[in-house]
Amino acid sequence: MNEHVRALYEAHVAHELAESRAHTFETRVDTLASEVFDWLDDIRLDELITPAQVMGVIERFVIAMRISGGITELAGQMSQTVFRSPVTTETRLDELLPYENYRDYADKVESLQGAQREVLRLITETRAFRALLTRALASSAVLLLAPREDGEQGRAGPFTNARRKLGRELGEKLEERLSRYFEQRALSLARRAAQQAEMLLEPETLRAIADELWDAIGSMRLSALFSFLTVSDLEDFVVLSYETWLTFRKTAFFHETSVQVVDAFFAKYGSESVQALLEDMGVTESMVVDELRILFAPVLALAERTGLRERQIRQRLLRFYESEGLQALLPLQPAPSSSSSSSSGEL
Amino acid sequence: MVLRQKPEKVEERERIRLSLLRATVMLAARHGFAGLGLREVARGADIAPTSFYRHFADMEELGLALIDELIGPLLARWNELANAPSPDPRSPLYALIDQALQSTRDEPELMRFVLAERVGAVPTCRIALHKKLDQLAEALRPQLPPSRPARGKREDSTLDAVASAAVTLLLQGCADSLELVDDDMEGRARVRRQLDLQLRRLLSTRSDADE
Repeated sequence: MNEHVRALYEAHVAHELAESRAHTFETRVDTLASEVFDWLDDIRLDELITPAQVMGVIERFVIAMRISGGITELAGQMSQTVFRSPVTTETRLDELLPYENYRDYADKVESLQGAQREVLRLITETRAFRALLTRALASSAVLLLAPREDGEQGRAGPFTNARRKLGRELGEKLEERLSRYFEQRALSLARRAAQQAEMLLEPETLRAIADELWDAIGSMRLSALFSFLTVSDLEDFVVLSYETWLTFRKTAFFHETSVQVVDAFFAKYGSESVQALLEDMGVTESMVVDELRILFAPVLALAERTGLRERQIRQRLLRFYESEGLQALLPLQPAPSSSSSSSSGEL
Repeated sequence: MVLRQKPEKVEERERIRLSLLRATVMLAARHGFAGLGLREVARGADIAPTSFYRHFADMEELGLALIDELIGPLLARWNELANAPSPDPRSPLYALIDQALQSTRDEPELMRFVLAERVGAVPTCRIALHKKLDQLAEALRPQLPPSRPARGKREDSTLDAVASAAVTLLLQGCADSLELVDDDMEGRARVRRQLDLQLRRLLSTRSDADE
């Protein structure tokens, strides 16, 4: 590169730098956003992207991508930050969930009677529930009729005298017999327990329980509400949720539902303009312009201050100024006495 | 100025990775590898469970790394000795037996992992361990006396079977020595003698098996 070409090169670099300064960035964003939004008004969504391309993105980034360990670690640390925050200590539950919202939820749960009965049926039909029930019944009966194991006398009650007469040995035999008796009748007992529990599901009873629960917890601070949780438990929940997600995202269910959701989305918006879709999502031109200015103007300013912008411009222009084609175009003449460039960068 | 990960951070990361592997060895000795969860291992290594993923994607990946990074070097040393000339011509595997029993004494939990996981419930780890042990069997093959090819026997498969049996015997010897208390020198000598005798018998009877 001769001196004349070098001077031109430096002048060009200085010009490009001036063009890319933050104040010109704002005007360029305005123009660009306006042009892009006008263009998106004429473009249909299915012209811009196809359902298969969207599914490709989901498969690559949601289903298959290995999530960096730094992200899970950050999620754990951030959840701890929230958990330990003074705001968590000071905030009451009813500040986050006003009674009106709670009441609406309670109303909804109350109206789902079919679901309540189904859940109850599933629980009472389990072997674990039957075992628990028979054990509880046998223990209660023995407590009423026989002396306590530690020899301590209970408070006087309807069976106090009978209990004393029976004695420890007889009490143990009684417990054994009662347990056997209840075990043999576990199924019918469980059914009866289910019937009793169904009475709880009456709308009035449910509402009374829900209101009482709210009275107990509504004014509690979050720290008190979650006092049974430690930081370590919280970490465990983050890991458990993450592991569940890792398994869930690989299931055929997730894949199939993703395909159906994408298809449904394209059935609704595919033939619409992209602009219409953005409007439905609440994205406007002014919002985009504002966010770009807020986010990128400082980044570009930093890129300029640290010399990144200048290096990029120099690299881009150098190829042109060093090309043989340019050398051939320029007349051979002496180089100017001083450089017009304001840039201090070296080639 | 280009900012990259600081060397001390890389070092710290390596240290935690090794802690995770070591914690796994210790915990697996008590509960078996298949029964271990990453939260338990993370706590064993004194890190938050969510930080586990910085080092391994899951327990399976950790198990494979353990086999590669802890068991691999141990078995590589065994492989070298399987081929080393023996100081005692009557006992061709003298050095290997000594090293195997010494390894068991030095790292009993690691040896328990080898013994348990070669028949463990995690298939990928089982396969990886078998590959390592197959390499040991391969290294043992030159120690086996030549067969009698004139008889047209299946030379390769017989050699493989004998070498594989030698590895099994060696591991059984390690398992026996695990049961001994630290200062039971007599017990160690007995296990050593027994292993030496068994291996010698096995190697000398290989030709007979061909007949």
